[in-house]
Amino acid sequence: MERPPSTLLEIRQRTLPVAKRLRLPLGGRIWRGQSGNWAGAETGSSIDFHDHRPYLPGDDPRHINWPAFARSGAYSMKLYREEVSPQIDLALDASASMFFEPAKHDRSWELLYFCRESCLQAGASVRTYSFHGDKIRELGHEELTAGTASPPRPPVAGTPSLALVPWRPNSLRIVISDWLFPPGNSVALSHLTRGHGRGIAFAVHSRSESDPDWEGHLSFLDCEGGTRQRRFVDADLMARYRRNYARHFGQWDDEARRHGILFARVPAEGTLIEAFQGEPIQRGAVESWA
Amino acid sequence: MGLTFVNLAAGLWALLGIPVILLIHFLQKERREVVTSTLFLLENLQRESKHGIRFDRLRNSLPLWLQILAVLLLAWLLSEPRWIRPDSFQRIVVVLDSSASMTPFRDDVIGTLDRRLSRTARTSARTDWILLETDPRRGTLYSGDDLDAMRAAMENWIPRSGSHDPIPAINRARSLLRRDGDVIFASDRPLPDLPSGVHLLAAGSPIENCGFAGLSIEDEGDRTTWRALVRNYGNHPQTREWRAVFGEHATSPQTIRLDPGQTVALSGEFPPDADEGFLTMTPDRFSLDDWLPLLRPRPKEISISVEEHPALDGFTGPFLRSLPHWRPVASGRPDLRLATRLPGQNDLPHPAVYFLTETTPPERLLSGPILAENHPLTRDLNWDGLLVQTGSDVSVGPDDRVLLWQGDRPLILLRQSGSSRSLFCNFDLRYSNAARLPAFVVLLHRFTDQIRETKIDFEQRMLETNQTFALAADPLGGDLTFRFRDRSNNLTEQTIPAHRAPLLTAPGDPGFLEIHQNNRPLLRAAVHFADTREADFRAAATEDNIAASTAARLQRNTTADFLTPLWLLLLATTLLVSWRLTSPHTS
Repeated sequence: MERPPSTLLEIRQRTLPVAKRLRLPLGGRIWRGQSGNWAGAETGSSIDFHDHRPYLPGDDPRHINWPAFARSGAYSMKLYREEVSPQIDLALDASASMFFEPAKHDRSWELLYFCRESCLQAGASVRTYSFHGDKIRELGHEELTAGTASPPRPPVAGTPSLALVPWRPNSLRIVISDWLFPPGNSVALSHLTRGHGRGIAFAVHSRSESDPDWEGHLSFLDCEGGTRQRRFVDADLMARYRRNYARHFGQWDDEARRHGILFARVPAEGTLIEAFQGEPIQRGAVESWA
Repeated sequence: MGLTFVNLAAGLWALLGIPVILLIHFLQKERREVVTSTLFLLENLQRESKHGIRFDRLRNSLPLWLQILAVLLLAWLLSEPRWIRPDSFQRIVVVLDSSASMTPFRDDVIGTLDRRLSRTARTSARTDWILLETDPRRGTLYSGDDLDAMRAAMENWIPRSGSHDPIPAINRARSLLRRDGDVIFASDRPLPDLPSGVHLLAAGSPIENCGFAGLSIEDEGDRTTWRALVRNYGNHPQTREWRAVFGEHATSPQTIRLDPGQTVALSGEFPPDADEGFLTMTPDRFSLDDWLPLLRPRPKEISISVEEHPALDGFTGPFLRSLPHWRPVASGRPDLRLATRLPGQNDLPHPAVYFLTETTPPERLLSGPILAENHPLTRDLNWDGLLVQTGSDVSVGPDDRVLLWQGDRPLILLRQSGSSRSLFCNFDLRYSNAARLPAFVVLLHRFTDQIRETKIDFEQRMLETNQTFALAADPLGGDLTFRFRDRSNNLTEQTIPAHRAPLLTAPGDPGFLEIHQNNRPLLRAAVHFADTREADFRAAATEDNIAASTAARLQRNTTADFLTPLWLLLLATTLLVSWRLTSPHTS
């Protein structure tokens, strides 16, 4: 008998150690935004040298580059990089397909909590949303910490629209979904790069989707629309299904690459750390602290 | 090698498993319901027409084909196939009951026989067929190896004979069998003393029947009356309507009700201007006795000349008054003479009845036992009490046939002269009590009837179906023409050689018969069904024991399928593989 899905508190508890070993790839980027501890794109008051410029009346004399004056006799100013706080927007696909299996349910929330912890540990400004269809809801810090957050009910079928998520400019946009909707509508991924945003797409998948044990006369029930279909499944049909499945995610891969978005598939089976060992780490969507 | 099946019905029943398997296959519930998030990927793989889904299942389901193969193997094994040996031979003799009681069941018998014989034909490489009837007059209907030709011969079989013993025909059939063969007797009821080894096919049933059971027509001078009996042969009361039709005259329908076994008499008169008519009744399954043709009898009239002699006085008058249908002639060639003769007088004209005349009264009363010869004229006649006085000697010629002896003296003899013959009474009626002896009068009546029968003249009479009768015809006068009109006024005509006139047979169907010779009418008859034994169907029943012989023949003429162990092994393997493919997987 399949185990019931874990509670959000349990998920959060087991995600915390993972966030201490692995993190999102927030370093090595130039951020824009509010004051923080990360090098920004503009000049600021950090100790990191950024650029020179001629002295203009009114500049702070403490920033005059006296060695340069000694050499050249001209007054020039040292500019230091600003320190900003990264803005991370997390969006969790709340369609029913994300939660119809306990393993997929747990993995989806684990990813969300991992991303949040990783962002909080980095001092980033993180906003968390859940989206499905045309419904968007911001998940509050309290409910996430308390483990009382839940996807909206009832689930609504349909292709989710990332355009409705209030992405912040210059933010890192992380989408956690199973991407089980037809690609090709570039509007969906293009929103991750609009407004100088950058995107990471995690694709949660389970073995029951990638390599199901279907055989014989089966009655399929769509977990989102409730559509029922009877099919006789033989080896030939299974082979064609697997090809179709691989082709589907190949298309998402191509779409993500075209938009410069990191696209990593995360299996629902196994521990979170084991799941990250595959594409997430290999593609740089997750990195170790070391 | 030909193939036959011992139990084909079992094999065909087993084939019903195929639609059952197909039905189970189509209605088979899915083993499980699967909740999936990737249904859209399956829909992308959907075929052109959703109507083809069921056929998709059919094409690719190995367990289905294995199960169908198993059913086919099982059907083959259950039907018990056997291979006919190429050297096998059998002779089948079928004896058809010719009795008129077969009429309502004729088609049933032919149909059942056809099916049985078709099956019998498949039990041997070669079959010799012989078809007989129980009526010995009908002969062999077919002999050969063509079953279709035998079927055609069966279609021409029309049972119309009266009651007769079928055993002689059955024994004849048994004598025709060779080493391997069977005799099949087809009738409408079981035969209690059916010889052993003969197989019975009885296709009758106890049907209800009412019909005319007897007829008499009396000529009462100026009017002719008819009297007919109607009988209910069945087990339930019956109601019938009947009427009499004489040309334009027809009675109104009248209703009679008969209890089981009851006989009712109907009577009426011939209209003065009608010689021919019929009685008709509400028809039932046995139609031969539902229609009764009537004909005013007109026997042949013979001419008699009587010698006036004292010896004949006192006898000829009463005798001639008792004789029907005659007329006196004084000269010419009468059909019969009643005359006297003197002792030793032999050269006399024929035909006649001659009485000896004694010139002197005899003194001697003959003594000795009176012995009558076995002759149709004297059969069953009692001559006790005959007293004869005579003194004359009588010689017996080479052409004489003595009919009555007293001691060593011939009292009455028959003398043949060409085609004529005469009766010689070798005693004087005046000196004998013969005139008062019934046997003597009957003898003379019989002789007179023989004269009448051999006279070539026209007559009208009633005949029964299949009755044999003699007709007086000129043996050198050309063929006889038979014209028969049945109840539906269908006319059939045939020609018969004149030499067969002494032994003719009336048709088996009721109707009106006319016989002519050189356009001279000789006979007009109404042929009616009168065999009441054939109208009683209470003993009719259905019985069929041909199947028992079929099994024995199969054993003799066929060999079992030598591949049966292989089919069994294949069946077991098929079932095992099918079970293995359809059993739930264990992970």
